[in-house]
Amino acid sequence: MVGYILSVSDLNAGYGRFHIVFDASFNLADGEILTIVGPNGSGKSTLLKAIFGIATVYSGLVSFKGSDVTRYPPHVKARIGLAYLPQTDNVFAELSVRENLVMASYTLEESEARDRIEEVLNIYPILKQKLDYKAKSLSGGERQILALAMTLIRKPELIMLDEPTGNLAPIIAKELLKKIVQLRDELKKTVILVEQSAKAALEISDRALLMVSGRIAYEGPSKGLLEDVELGKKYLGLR
Amino acid sequence: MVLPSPEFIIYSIAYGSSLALLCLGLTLTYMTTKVPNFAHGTLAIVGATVTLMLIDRVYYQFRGDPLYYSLYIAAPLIAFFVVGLVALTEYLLVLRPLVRKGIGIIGLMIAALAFDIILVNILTMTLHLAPSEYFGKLIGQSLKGFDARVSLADITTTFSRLAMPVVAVILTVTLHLFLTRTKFGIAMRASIENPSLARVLGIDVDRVYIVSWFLAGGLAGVAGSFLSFIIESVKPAAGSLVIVSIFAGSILGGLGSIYGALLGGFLVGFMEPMATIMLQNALSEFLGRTVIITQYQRLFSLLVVIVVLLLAPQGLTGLNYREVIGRVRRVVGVG
Amino acid sequence: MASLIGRYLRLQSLLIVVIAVVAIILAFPLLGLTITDVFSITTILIVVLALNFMAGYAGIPNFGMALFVYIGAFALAGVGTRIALALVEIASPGFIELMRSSYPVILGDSGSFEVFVRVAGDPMVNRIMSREVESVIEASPILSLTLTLAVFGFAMIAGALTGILASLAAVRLREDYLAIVLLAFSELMVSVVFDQTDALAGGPNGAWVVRPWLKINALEGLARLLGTIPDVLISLAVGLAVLAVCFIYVERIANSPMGRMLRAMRDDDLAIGVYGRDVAMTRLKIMAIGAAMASIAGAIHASVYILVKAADTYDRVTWTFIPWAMMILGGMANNWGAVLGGIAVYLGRKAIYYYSPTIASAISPILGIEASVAGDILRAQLPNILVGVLIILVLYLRPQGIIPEKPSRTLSKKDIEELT
Repeated sequence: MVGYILSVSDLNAGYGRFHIVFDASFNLADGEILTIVGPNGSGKSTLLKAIFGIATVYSGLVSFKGSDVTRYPPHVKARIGLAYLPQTDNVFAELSVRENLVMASYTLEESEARDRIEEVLNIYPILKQKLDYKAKSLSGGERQILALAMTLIRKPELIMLDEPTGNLAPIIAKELLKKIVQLRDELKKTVILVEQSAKAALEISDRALLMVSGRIAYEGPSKGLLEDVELGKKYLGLR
Repeated sequence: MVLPSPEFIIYSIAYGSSLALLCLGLTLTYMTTKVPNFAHGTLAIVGATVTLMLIDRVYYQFRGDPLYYSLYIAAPLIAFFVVGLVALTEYLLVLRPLVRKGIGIIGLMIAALAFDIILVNILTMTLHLAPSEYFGKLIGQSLKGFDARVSLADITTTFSRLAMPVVAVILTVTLHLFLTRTKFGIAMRASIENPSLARVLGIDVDRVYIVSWFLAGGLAGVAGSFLSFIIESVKPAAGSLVIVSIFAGSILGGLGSIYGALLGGFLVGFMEPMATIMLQNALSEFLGRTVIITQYQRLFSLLVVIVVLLLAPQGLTGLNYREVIGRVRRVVGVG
Repeated sequence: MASLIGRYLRLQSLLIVVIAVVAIILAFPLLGLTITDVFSITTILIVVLALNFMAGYAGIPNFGMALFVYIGAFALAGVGTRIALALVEIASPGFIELMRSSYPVILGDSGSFEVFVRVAGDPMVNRIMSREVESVIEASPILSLTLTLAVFGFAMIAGALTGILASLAAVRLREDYLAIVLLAFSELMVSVVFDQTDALAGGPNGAWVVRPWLKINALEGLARLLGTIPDVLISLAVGLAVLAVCFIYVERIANSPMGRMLRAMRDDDLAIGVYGRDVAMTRLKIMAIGAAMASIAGAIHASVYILVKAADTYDRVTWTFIPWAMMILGGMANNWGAVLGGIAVYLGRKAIYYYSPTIASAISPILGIEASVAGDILRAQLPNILVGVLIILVLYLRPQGIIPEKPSRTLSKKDIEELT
């Protein structure tokens, strides 16, 4: 297992009585972008939530940097370097951008918090101009960037994003994907992406995972999935 | 239309200010725990009772002494802490355990009502049993005569009526600064808006709820302390009528914003006596004889609850004017 | 299998009720229970069943029961007295004139309309005339029957309309809004509108009622044996009959497709959003039926009283809160549970009441207060405090109550089919 930042083996998960993910296994190396794709309701988001500890894990193993973290509650996972960004409600809409960043650094010492906020503002200068705007007044793309910034404040090593481009216009989605590449290339983060609009996301990622009806149907380099005509046509709407 | 006397307007402003604080507290606890606190009216009466007991102790000694006026600071302050603790007891001993057990909203509401009944009866018991130095017996006493008179030009009013709005404004500004300028205050707003995200970020949401309940109780205590000089008599059962006005103001404010609650509470509290007296004057003029309708004053609050829920259930803060006009049309049956 | 469990549960609950009934009979002399207690239990059980229908099955948090019960009392004290006077005037024309000449000081210059207002509105006129009117009514089977039908008919219709009116503003909204509106409406109607308006039913002074019952001499002996009067026995008989009818009715609705729909509506948060209109209509229907039941209970309850006052007699503790406690203790959405809970809470309060002088004389020296003061407090405040504590404890320790809700049989069958 050494060498992988995250490895998942034989994971079965769901919500209460609803068993959704079946026997999922995969490994992810440090500094890679993995995109999980698949049709609606195939269990992509549930897999992500199970890894982070929000969905119920029935059996299987999740290990992070070589140690078993399967049963850790979300806030503990957040502390040890995992981050999860939900698809919606990932910022406080009624709070200003500044207040959102303060909340993201809530558990940190004041001076450290100030430094980290400064740091992420340098990564995402667009937020600098909107510090006193309420988050609800931001555009969809800006809001996702704010959410990303809030995640980065806690210096996670593995960032899991649930359909970050879901509600964005294609052009803005592309911008956001650039930011995600930046996470890997400049900040050396490992990223897991769940995406519906598969093609653009697969193009920027290193590895891909295709889920169909709760099971992993493909696991490998993302190029491989992009070039697999049959799978692409069947599940991803690619030509 | 003849406006009511300046004295009456001052009285209405004072009443509106105290109701604003009560609605603020109710809305705060509603936003955190999602349960309408049916005991909130009685919390105000606890504040009034604390004031009554305090006056019973000190009036005899300090009557006429300028020191007596420090009561206007001491009484609300003590009421703030006492009632804050009572509200905290309600949350920690009654509601939180039930929330954690997964009891539904109906169960939580009846539990709040149960706490109200317990509180009313403990108050009654206390007022019957507590030794009284000045009054002889505490139950049913009026504090109207214990409020310092103040004359401004040809208007005579009382000190508490002038102080209440000032205190309300000071408390509101303080709370606003607390919620926007301190890290914990911002965390309170964050936890109210999105508790699960707040938890992920490491905010102790439960502590936020505890502070909310204490604050809500404290503000009810301050309001009740001033109200004790305004209401006819301090009796435990009065809370069951005050609660209707509190709900009216909070619902008008939308039950989702503390600023809405302040506005809704003030409007209901100010308009309730004003509208009643103005309607009474108009009716008397129209019929050519004196008509008394002040005993029905509280119906104004019920009317507000009904009209707001029918026309704009989101209250003032969630108001979408086009939609409201549409609803009015539908209800009235035009178009 | 499921139906077997269901039958077992029913058998078990029946057994518990039988034991409870035996316990009451045994407790009769012990607690000093009288026929009046049996009557009180009967009327409050109707209210608890109505509440269980609204809150237990349909999930309507009715925090305004007191109003609906009072509407029934008003049907008797405010409306019934006037109908009775009209009936007597029709049956023997000149009755009002006779009254006017009999009581010149209080009625001398009142016009006929004013007499009708004052007969239930003015304490003096009400007190004198209700006795006179009653003596005519109780002697005539036709008048008695007509008045009975009129009063109970009015109670039913007025109760149903009040139920609709009270919930109308929030019927499309979440339960918490519904609870707030029902509490506010009830509280203000009872203790402001009815209690502050003399012309309705005496305002704060209350009103004497005209009992619609026929005078049955044959009941004298039985009544004396039970330590009561014939009128109370008739009220009790009517109460028991209504209780039985209500029980069977609620039980039948609960086991019908309608009942399953109600429970689905209650348990599913989405239902209000998806079936908004249907839910609103169903809620209004339930409010009308439940409020009518409570109102009839109120009319029966008032029929044994001499004087009924709005806010004093129909306070929210006795008629809203205690029925809730009874229902929650017994088990929501279970009629046997409601009955059992009702009897248990009533007897518990009675026991405190009964033993309070003994306890008072024991604890008064410790607390340093007079025994009579301690006794008053034990009787007036302690039972309410304990009922409040009971509700919170039951919700915490056994939220399903003594007898839990029966599992829905159709659902279980479907579940079994899916599994096999």
